[in-house]
Amino acid sequence: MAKPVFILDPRETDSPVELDRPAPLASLEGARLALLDNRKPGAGTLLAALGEILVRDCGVAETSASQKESAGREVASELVAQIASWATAAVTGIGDCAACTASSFRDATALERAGVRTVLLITEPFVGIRDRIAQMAGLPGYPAVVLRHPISILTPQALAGEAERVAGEVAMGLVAMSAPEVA
Amino acid sequence: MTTLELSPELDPTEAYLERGWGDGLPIVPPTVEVVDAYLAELDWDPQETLGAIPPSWDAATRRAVVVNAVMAGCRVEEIPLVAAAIEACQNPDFNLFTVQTTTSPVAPLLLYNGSYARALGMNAGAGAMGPGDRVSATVGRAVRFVLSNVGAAAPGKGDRATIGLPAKFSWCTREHEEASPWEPFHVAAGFGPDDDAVTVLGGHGMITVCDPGDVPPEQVMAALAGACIGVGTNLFFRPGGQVMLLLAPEHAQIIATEGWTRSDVQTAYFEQARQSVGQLRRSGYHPMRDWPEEYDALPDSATIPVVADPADVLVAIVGGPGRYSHVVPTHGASGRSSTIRVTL
Repeated sequence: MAKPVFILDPRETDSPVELDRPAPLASLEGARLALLDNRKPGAGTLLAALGEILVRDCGVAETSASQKESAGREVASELVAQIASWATAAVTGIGDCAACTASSFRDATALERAGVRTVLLITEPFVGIRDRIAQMAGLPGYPAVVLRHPISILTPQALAGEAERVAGEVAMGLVAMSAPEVA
Repeated sequence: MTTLELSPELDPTEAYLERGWGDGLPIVPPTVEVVDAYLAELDWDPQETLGAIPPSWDAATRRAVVVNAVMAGCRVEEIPLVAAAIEACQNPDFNLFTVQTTTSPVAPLLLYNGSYARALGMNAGAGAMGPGDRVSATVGRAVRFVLSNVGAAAPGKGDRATIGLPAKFSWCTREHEEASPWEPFHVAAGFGPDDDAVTVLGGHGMITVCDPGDVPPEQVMAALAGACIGVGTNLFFRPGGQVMLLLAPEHAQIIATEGWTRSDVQTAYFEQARQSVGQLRRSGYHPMRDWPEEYDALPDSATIPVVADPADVLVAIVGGPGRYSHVVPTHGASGRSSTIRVTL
């Protein structure tokens, strides 16, 4: 009788490093909100509009905008430290392609590892890659607020309108454990 | 690492393909016996890691490298070339994370220098980037296997490329140092002439350039520059990317006989490969992406370089007789090439 053949799985599967997400804020009243722009088209405009709405409606005390080097790169650790030294909450995005969604996911989790409760912004077609990246990172179900797609073609007025549409979800993501994902 | 027990009547290739491992083509079964023998011959610690491979961020251990290299058809002596390429991809500036996950069609182009790859018979001459050369085919395939299997970057899963690139099967060659009028690529990058080296570059495929005949270097350069001025290329989004010129030896000789150095080629390309501001505006690319503010004031008649500095034009000599050179655009500012020494 022929013997069985023993072959090797070509993967090395490590145990993902768990992330204990920072606790949600009790409220946004008096919060210092960091807006981390990944440099995708419209991201800065939409984040600025979101900041203004959260100041207006939720009592956020201050916002501070910053940009990372490139949408396709993870945020620099120095910028994470700088944000974490000041902010009590953060919003980052926009993930509207695969690499920038994956990078923005890493940015959000980097900020959360530094203790800053963060909401990730992505567009609808990239929910799947967020799911996959989150699964592989040991964070299945990691939330995101889902924007309409394509976002890059929107006028500043339309971006402001989109910010108004999702501002409530963003606030919920910062003060509750998860936000609903509605494109 | 898991060992799979297969009954003798089951085709190992089918077992791997069913699990989504590999590239869709038949593989060589990485049996425990072969992998252990290779590890022993290489005198490698199976658990030593060469780095983490995104997007799974699992470890590329030396054992995983050997398993994937065996699957790809490598002989044991070719595996150090695979390991070196994986290590080169670990350079943060290379940005393997984006290379692995982006919707754009990026694959690592592997360019080897030095006597080791030459002695193994890696093709640098006619058809250097085509099929038929076992060494470049299997080394490039093995690197792809490590990236896709360990990194969980199968197409449509971790790898989200919209259309993809055939270079993701294997994209590997050697600089034709013997036919080059200039110092080897790795020496220009700061390595010693006796070093073996590998360069990885996140390339967007290749654009072929021929010339109209016996023309001076300026016109060869103009033809090459024309390959990179399409407004849709990632290169324009933000200065900071690189472009690689794979010059056919005949093109290199035409240029060099006029006394040009590699540095002259870089400068000439930087000066000539420019995109029209007006065309970018008319195409809707202005002011998308990371368009620098100072460009806003430029008139339509202005042009802007595709890279930020002449040093971002990488020049290597590849191929056999004929006047067909290749231009390799990259995925822009989010990644840069990485060159390291091959450890034997």
